[in-house]
Amino acid sequence: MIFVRTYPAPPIDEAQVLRYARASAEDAAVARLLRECEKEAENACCFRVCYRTLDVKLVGDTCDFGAFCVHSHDLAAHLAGHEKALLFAASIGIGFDRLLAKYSRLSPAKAWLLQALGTERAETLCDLFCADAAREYRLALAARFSPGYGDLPLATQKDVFVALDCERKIGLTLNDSLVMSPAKSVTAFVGL
Amino acid sequence: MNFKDFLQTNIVRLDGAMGTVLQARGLQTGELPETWNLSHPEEIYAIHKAYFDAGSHVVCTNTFGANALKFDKRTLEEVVRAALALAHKAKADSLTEQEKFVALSVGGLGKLFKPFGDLDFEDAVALFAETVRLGAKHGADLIFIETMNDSYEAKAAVLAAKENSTLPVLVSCAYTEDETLMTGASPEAMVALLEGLGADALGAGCSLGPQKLMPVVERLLASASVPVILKPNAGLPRDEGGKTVFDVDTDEFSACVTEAVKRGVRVVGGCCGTTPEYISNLTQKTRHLSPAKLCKKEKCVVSSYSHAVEFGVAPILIGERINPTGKKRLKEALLRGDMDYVLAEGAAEADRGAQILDVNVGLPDVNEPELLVRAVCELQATLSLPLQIDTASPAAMERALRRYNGKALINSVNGKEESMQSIFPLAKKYGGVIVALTLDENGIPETAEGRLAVAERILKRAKEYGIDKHDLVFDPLALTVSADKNAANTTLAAVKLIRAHLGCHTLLGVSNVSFGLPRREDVNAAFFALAMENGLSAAIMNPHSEKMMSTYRATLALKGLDEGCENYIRTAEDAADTTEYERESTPLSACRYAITKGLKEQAAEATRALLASQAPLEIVNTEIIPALDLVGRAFEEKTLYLPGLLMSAEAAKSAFEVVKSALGTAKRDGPVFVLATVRGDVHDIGKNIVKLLLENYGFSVVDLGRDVPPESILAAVQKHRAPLVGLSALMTTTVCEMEKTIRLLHAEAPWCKIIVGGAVLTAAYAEKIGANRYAKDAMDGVRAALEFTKA
Repeated sequence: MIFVRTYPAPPIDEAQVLRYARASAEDAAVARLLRECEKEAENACCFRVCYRTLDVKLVGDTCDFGAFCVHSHDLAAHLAGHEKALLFAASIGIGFDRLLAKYSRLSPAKAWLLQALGTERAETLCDLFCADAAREYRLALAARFSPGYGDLPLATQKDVFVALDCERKIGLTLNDSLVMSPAKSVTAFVGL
Repeated sequence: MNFKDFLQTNIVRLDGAMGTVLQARGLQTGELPETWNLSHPEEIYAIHKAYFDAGSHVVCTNTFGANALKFDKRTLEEVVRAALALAHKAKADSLTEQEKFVALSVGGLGKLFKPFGDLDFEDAVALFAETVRLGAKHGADLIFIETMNDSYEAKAAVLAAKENSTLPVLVSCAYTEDETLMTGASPEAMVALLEGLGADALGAGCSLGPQKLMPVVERLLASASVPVILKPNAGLPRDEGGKTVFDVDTDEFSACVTEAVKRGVRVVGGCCGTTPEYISNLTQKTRHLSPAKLCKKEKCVVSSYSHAVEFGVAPILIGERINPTGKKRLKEALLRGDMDYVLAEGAAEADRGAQILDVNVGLPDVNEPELLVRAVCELQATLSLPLQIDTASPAAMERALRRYNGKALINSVNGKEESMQSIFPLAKKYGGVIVALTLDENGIPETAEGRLAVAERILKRAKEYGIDKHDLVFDPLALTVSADKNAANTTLAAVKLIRAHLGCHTLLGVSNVSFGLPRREDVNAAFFALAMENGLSAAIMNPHSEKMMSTYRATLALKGLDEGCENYIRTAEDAADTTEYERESTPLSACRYAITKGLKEQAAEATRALLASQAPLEIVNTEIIPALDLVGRAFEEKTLYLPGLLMSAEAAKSAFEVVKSALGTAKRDGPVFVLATVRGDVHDIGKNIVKLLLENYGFSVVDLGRDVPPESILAAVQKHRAPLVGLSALMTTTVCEMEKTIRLLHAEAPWCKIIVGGAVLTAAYAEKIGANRYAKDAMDGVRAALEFTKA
């Protein structure tokens, strides 16, 4: 069964945004511009996650999740010792893509900061969700592992998208070149 | 009875869920539910039969995901044919007494449309069309387009349904808890769009339980003239010991849906988590209710992908700046295909308070249909305001209306028969509010009564095309007061007459009135105030005119249309609040200082001041370029970071803009640099940064955008005989496209040098795929371009 969770906007970790943007925290002009970006992003973001639990059977480098199988040494190592895994997709929505598209045309400086802000928003959403999951499963959760990490092929996204019905659940789609739209989105496996 | 008639006079009960029922019967994750039409026909039949037995008037075929993206042509037909046969057999076998129909279920394609995803609008229409044709061929009674979460996709689906069948079309959308679709549309925007396209009923389905969908349902009921649909989930799912349970039970569900029927909902059913028991319970509760009367809402509404704008609430401002008449810079931008300039114009109008944007790209020697579609697509992707599509070419109008993601304002039709014959059918097909000019074969009538008479004729003719009077807005034409002292009086009288006699809204391009007079803004603003007092509903105007804007805001406050004068006060305060940036002591000139500090307005201001004493090009060479070099070096020495560099580049750009207007041209005759993100890749922030810097250094950048096929890049290089090409790719999966492009360019345009960049590239890899130069960052790209052009 696939479940959906929606969150109110979590607080922004500005230091992290500036790190992603490779910007200096002392630059007042940048700080002002970031404040502008945050204000505009406020109404453009939504915070949605869809997820399910999967049974895990590991045979060598093959991870058998029942619904689909993945061959990846690194994922297998990551999930070693777990009988179940949490699979989730998190997205901050297409409104943010529109904002990015607008400013990538009108102000590359703003687009650059927004890009960093979007990454921070998506990561914070994942942290929030995983913290929730850790509480609910009463586990200290291991790190997230996403398609494209290590030797886990990006093409795994196709199975992930089917297993999570991402389009209907949270409006997340996969392009033919395996890019996710909305862009600021994450899919990941977590051992339970 | 046919379904259309049945719908007009009855409460229609749809079925409940298919997907979750199939899962309960063993459908596996990853298995396409539609394949069960062929592999488990008895199960599908049993589900349909159970719903008919439970009292459904309509069951939806198991074809939600039956489209050519998921099935090959032959299997698709098999799946659809079997689906309809099973539903029809269930209909024939069920002994309950209600009228019974079979709906072809059409679900989303699972992809996002361009420019955010990779599905083209027309490809989507073609995909839907294939399913619709099969459904019609194999006996569907109606088409049910289900749980759309994108307005644009809903439009593609309805167009396909209308173009490929004559069946009634119902549309349900999946609204989220914020009462919008996931792509942003409000219920009112969806009503405008779908009624405009001729949907027979519309509503909300899936996504949430009935209680949580009620606010959306209320909004739909308040704005829709066609029957409203409610097909909610049985609440939210939760896991109970490995079993999925939904949190709204049959009683609560049907009580809630019944309440919605009492409030006016006409088409009801269930989605995820509901079963025949839910429908049976709902049947018991609703069978004796009489259907709410359908009433026309008589609203004049246009919409965008996100929201609706209604005429007649407060006067509407339509920004007139995207129109090349008399605007040299825009003309040049359009001829170059520079959409950034168009977007910037639109964004600035929106910031100033325009509520609708006029889009006119009519120029001699351009392919207007193509250019108009491009402008519309670019604007609607990034700005949320509804558009007024403004063209004299019916061909351009049709193509733009087709692609428009909403219900547009159509500018314009007039009383000439030829005009009405070309525009009315387009409005009927694609929806839209039509601006009707009160002139005809005999010209513009001299009196207000004459203009009213033309308006009446237009109204009558529109009715013959099935166009409601609320989809017309009349423009009684403002003529020049300096040529005829009664010109304004006549127009104002016509505004009043049309409103009083026809009950229709009016619109004016106000600025014509002052033609030939000094201080035109004074006259325009006074005329605008008078027109509003006479009942004007909208004005096509320049939102950058402070006089017009302050007249507008003051009039709204005076007429009680600005609660507590809030908007008036806020704007006045914003204007007073001009933050002074502290300037550190510096040996730099004001202009160079502003650029190095990334202060856009100040850079423009300082440049304007310099123009009093220096020639424009001198400013470029002694102020702007040295300032850019300064920040460029700081960036390379890592004392300045990328955001700072970009802000400086933008400040320099705003200084250049001032220089360009002083020169009266956008041209700087540097070498042509063709820039593109390769096919398959949609990342363009890096590419846009390079563009900004290149422009600052005087290159004529031809920006082809993102996801650009090799052939298009070659064509541009050949057309401009460009010495330089820049290619960007961010994904490992798209580097192969880069390689293909390079091979093609080397073969067909051997004179050009290719610079590549992007996150996945390295110098070694760039060399391997045949690039002439790898640029590690944007500044490095500029250096490379300078090196090549110096050599």
